Amino acid sequence: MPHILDCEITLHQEVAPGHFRMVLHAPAIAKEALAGQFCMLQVQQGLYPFLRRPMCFERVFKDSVSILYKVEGEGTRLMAQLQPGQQMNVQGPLGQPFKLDPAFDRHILVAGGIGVAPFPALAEALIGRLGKTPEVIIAARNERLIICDKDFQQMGCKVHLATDDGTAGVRGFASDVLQDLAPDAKTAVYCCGPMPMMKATHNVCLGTGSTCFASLEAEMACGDGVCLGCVVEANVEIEAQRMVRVCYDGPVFDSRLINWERY
Amino acid sequence: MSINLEVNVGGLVMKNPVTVGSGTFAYGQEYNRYFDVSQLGAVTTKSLSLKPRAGNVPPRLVETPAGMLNAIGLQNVGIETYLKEKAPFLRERGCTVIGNIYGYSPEEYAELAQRLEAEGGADAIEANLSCPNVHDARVARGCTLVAQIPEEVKRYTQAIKAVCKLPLFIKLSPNVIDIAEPALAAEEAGADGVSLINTILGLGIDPESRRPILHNIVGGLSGPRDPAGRREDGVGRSQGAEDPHHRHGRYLHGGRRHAVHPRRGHGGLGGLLLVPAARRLAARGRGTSRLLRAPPGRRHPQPHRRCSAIILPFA
Repeated sequence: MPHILDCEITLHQEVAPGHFRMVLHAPAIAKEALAGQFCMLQVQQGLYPFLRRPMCFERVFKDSVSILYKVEGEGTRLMAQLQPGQQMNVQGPLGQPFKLDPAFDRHILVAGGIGVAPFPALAEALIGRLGKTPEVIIAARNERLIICDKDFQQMGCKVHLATDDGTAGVRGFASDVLQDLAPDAKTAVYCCGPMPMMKATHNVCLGTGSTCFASLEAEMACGDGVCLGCVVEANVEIEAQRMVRVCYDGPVFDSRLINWERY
Repeated sequence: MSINLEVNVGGLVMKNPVTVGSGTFAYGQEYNRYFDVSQLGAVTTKSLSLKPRAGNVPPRLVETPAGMLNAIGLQNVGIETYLKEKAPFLRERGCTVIGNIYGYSPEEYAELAQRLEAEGGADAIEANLSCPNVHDARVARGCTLVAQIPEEVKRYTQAIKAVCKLPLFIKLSPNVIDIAEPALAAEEAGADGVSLINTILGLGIDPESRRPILHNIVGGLSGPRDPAGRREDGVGRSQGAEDPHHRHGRYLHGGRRHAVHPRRGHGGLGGLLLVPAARRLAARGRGTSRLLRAPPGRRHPQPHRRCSAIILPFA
């Protein structure tokens, strides 16, 4: 059951230019939060910004949760100014987590930019619950914007990097790296990042017969599945089920459900 | 000590004067995770149509400084699924239900209302004659909303009233010159109240691309609009919005809620539900619209004006 709580910011650091990690003291939420789920953050008290900001859990600790975010607009710009010790109202955990399926032999995490955010928690869960150490592909525009690579290495994951300018890892896209890793039918691929990157990842998985789970991002109003503002189009003929809610049916979807033609 | 908050709104008995704006609460299940939704005076459902609707293509939201634009496009499960899967949930919990309906013709509205009554899906009907986001229907009527033409409001109201005995509220649009006209038309045709207001038509532009953000181009503005927005929309300003307790309404997400007062006939909804006959207000020498347009801070003389909204705290 989701909670709505005032939580203290215990750590707030810039991990890359314009990218921040925030740790929130939230025992009740941490107790229930799973990899892939998210929380809605009220950036500041009052009516501005009007909507909460959805942020997925980077890590779930005993008494706290951490999030990773990139300053994109007004809400995250204000958020970046918050100091440790200040309170923030947090609603969560929300949404469907990543499914941990022991039937897969191999697990590959594919992150684009800030899309790496849900994966440290997922890697931990795969290692801790399934005893499977995933491989990780992190793609970003350049070396400075690669984040969390060391965290994955510390967990024992093999990390592959790709950048647009070749300053770290290979020059190219995450999907190219995935293709080279030759996933097969017993491989689960988890992706999160910009829509074109997830679409390309989905296509590689279709071609190789592997299963792809996409963690989608959307602007949200309620976060609770009622307002239908965050929907994406699914490959479903039935009118009533064609639009799926990122906040409630997702944010993690089997990529075959999503109508990628739209994106 | 318990306080009796029961109100009778145009024939609908509610245990307290708080309900939710249609579309901000789905069919009640999701928010029951946070609190017992039967504590509400009534649950107002998402607009129900005869057939399920997928709604508009995303993006559907634009955040504004004190609210949001939405262009959902009446995505809903359809009356069939509502009666089979959603209504039983509300009924089991003893919720009072205001069934919001949407159709393409008076006949469709009548059929929806009739089914909700016959199959116990609602205790009152709210006819949405004012959704700004459904272009197919607007174009079919020459780019107007039903609620923008008083004669049409009358025709639709009569059609529903002829087949359904439940209290009927007509949800009107602020996108008119004088909302008193459709309100009076609804009353003349036998409606038991009007729900004020549906969203205000608006346009959100992406400053980078200089293109509309919504795929639908335009959307409907809702939210507390408080205090500056009040002056902008005028019509939607309610006395409920002046009540300091009312401001907490935003915690119920989506920012819109109805609050109903039995005698005054209005509370807040980012709009409000105006209950007693518009004619009665007019007979007092102040037209409906004028009453609603009183500038912020001005008080009406009625002593009971202060208790127009009771807000249910979250969790």
